[in-house]
Amino acid sequence: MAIELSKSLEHHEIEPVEYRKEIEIKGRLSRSIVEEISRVKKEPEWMRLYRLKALEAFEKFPSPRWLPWIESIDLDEIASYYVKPAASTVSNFDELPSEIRRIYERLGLPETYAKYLAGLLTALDSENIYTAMKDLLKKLGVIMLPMEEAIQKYPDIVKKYFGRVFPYTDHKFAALHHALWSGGVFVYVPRGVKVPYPVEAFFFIGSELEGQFEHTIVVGDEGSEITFIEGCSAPRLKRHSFHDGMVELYAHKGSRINFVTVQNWSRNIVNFNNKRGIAEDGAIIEWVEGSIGSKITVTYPSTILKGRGSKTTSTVIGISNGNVIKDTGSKIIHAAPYTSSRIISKSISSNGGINIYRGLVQVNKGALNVKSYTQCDSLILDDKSSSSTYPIEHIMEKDAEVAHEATTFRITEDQLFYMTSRGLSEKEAVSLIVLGFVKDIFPKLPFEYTSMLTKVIQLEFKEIGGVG
Amino acid sequence: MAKTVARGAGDSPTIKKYIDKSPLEELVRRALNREAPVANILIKALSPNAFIDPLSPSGSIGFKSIPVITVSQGFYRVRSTGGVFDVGVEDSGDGVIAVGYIELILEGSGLTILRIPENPVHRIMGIKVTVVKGVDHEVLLIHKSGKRAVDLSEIIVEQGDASRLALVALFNTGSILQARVESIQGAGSSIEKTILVNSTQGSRVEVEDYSYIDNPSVSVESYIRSRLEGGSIAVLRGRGMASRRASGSRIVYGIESLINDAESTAFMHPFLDIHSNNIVEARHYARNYLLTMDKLFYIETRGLKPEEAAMLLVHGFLTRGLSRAAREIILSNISSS
Amino acid sequence: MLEALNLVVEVNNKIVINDVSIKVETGSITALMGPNGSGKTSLVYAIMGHPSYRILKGSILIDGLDYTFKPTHERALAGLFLVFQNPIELPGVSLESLIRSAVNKRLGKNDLLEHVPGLPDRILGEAKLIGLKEELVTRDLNIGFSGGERKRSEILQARVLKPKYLILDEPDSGLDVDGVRIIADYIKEVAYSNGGVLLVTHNPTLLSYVEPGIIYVMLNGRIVAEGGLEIADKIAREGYNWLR
Repeated sequence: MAIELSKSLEHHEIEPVEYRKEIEIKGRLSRSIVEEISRVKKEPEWMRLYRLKALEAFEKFPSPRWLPWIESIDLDEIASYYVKPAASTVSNFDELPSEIRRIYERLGLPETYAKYLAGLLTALDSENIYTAMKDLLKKLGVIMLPMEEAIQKYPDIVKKYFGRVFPYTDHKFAALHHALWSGGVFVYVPRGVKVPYPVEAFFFIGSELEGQFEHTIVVGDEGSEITFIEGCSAPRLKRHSFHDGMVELYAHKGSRINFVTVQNWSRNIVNFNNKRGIAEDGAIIEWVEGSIGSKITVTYPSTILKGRGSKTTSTVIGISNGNVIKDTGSKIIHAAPYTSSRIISKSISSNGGINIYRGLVQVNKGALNVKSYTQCDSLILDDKSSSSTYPIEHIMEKDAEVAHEATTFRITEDQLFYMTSRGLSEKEAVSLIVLGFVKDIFPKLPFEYTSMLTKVIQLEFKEIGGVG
Repeated sequence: MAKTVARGAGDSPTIKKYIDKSPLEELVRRALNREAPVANILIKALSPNAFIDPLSPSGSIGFKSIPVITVSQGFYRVRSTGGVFDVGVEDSGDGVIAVGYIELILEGSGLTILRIPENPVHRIMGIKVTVVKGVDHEVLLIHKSGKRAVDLSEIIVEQGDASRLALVALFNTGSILQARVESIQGAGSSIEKTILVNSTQGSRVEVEDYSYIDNPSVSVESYIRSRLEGGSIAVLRGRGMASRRASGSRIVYGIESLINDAESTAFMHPFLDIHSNNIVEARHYARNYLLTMDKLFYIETRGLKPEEAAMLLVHGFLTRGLSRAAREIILSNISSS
Repeated sequence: MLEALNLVVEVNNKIVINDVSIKVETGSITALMGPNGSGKTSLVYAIMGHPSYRILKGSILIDGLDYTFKPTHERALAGLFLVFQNPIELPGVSLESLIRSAVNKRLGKNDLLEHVPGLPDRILGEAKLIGLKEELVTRDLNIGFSGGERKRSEILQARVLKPKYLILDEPDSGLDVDGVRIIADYIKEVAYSNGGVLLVTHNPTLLSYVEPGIIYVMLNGRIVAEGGLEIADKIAREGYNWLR
């Protein structure tokens, strides 16, 4: 087992951290494995050395204590994925778990699409709108290609940004990621270029994007704009059980980067996602996250507002349906004056699901005239589920206008009665209420995502137990 | 069980150390090892009909979160059968650290005031408030500390079923304050806690307020408000927990800071753990309270100088929501810089 | 007399008052009219000394003394009182404690929250006369107050503090017919007791009831007309177009 979880998913935040058990690290990651990875990918020297430095840091750092449900991680098992031949998850449609197959049917996906999602196809048919998109990007001068290719083709640009936003020194899993990273996309938008349509990377970079340790970088040069969408709301089966990905965003002066993630992976995965962006003067970074699947999701999209007048918003929707944990939130550091941030987090827990929000809003000394607002609401649907919110506000300037509000909701009997008296079944009423609760995310997604996400959520709550 | 110097759980990994509590650890060590003369507190009834008895520390009596420092005296049981009850606390005057423990048992409706005055020594104090079933009571705890004082304070509340308590704890802080407030609720009980931190002289403060709801139909309101000047640093943590048995309950946690100078800093963590979907209301907020130009201008048009207008707002900020009686007493006990 | 002489005022780097002179004599009522954005509220704020409004030229005189650059509270203590159009919320500060502080200030007391014998009853009495619910007197000022209640609370403050120059910025907004009557009566009372009144309003009923001695009309930061009630009638019939 690459990762071993506690029998009970309960957690007691009130206990002091130093009394909790550390995560046990089993097995070893040898230098030779890391060197082999670098060699196979034909990487330049600097990247090989970089991986080794990250490995050193990983070994030095103490094991985290703030994830109470993870008992141990087996490095041998994790590293073995690199050594095993790349085998597809299933060899035909019938081998997919029945719940996933059923959902694909209910979603009405065309066969090629469903096969692609199931991993039976490595790329989508070339005669479709995604080719037109690729040509447009080429014309605009946008660089977008798998990270591993980008290192070969544009080493200077990549070197400028790789690990600069989220260094391996940050924490143990970041170091692990930097040592083992593989896959992911590199995007560079030139000065003044505004990409008119959202880029749905999942479809044209394909399965390379979704490695175990994928590393994605999006750089917006001055005055540029781009919306980048990764993931897909239809449920996906994954063969590895531990995912430690990273996204680094760099928004230069006056640029805008919108980064959207929609995730619905099978319920055997521990999904770590390290996401961070830096915004320079007048730049805007917007994080959107719709998280439905996985067993444990740990992700805190963060932004450092380095430049004067920069802004960031973060919209996170998390659904924990069943024995699932979503530990999500946002971290915003206001490091310059006249910056503003807005966080909206909506989480739903049901059937024993656990939802945790961890947020940090920090106003550094010298960051005058800051405005920040966080709204974090949770909906608990039954008496087996729970929700915890741990917001942190650090204010070091007296004129900062910072407010955090959080409310925990439930569905009252009166509300259910009202809706069922209009002819809806109880489950339909619940799914309608859930959709209304998370509606903040919909304006931020392109239409086909909205309709798929809506259907997925409906299926999640109308069916018993949801997916996987 | 938290030690006096434990770091809070769930903390952001970005800030490792909020305030330097080594003088506090030093104080406890010296008290435990008798390296400094330890005095004990004395209680003086400032109003009649108070039942005050000395207590001897034993297994079940004593601090919950502070290491036990044995003193021969300084442990008291104060019983109120109702009415207004004013109690003063002093120290025996022959020590550098004053240690005391007061158990307040509220058996009838009324108002109890505990005044802990400023003195040059450091203080380690525990207060336990027990509210008997069905009783309605208001408790005001007024602390004043000398500029160099290092204070360790623990306030534990146990409420019987169907009782109602309004607890206001005002801390006029000295050099360092670590305070832990904890409340445990009986079924159908309600508590409104207001913890006021008034730091005008460069204090380092850490206040934690825990509320446990493990029974049905409980109402908990917890407010921490701090006014920071003179380069003070305040770490304000609220932790509310509602278990699966907390159906029909409500919990509201609010933390607010008023930073009145360029050097002070506020760290606010209003944490909430809800394990029941039968909670009637669960919300929390953390805010920075600003003395805006519009508010000041409005008051100045009534004739008050800018400093006077600011003071009116500061006092209003600290005493908001308090009962009439509490407001008057608290107002006259807020130390200014 | 309260006077603004050749006032030029800027806010947010924009000139909002461009060479305006008005006079408010004691024992009389001066009205100020004009469309939205003409600078009426800016003039009122400048007279009260709001820090955002910079006086570039001209002066403000209260009873012959120059208050152009004096702080707001000194203008208040010299006898000015502004009934705000949108009174702000003051968490934690009750109507009663604000009035008490203002009264203690005028009595020269050091402790502004000192109990003033007879004041609480006086305030409750005024509240009754004015139609303000008693409980609002001890509640946080303006929090949860309706529009009408906010205006009444402004008038209550004025009645207790007895200003020499009463300035009202659109006092009728948010009020019903009774409320407007109460305002009008109070305005007349002030003028009758030899105070001066500067009334900013659109309301023709209010104007005809108080019968101002002089009406100024402002447009784009300047005074464009001056006269008696006939001006108000013309505006009521034709709007402001004839002045543009």
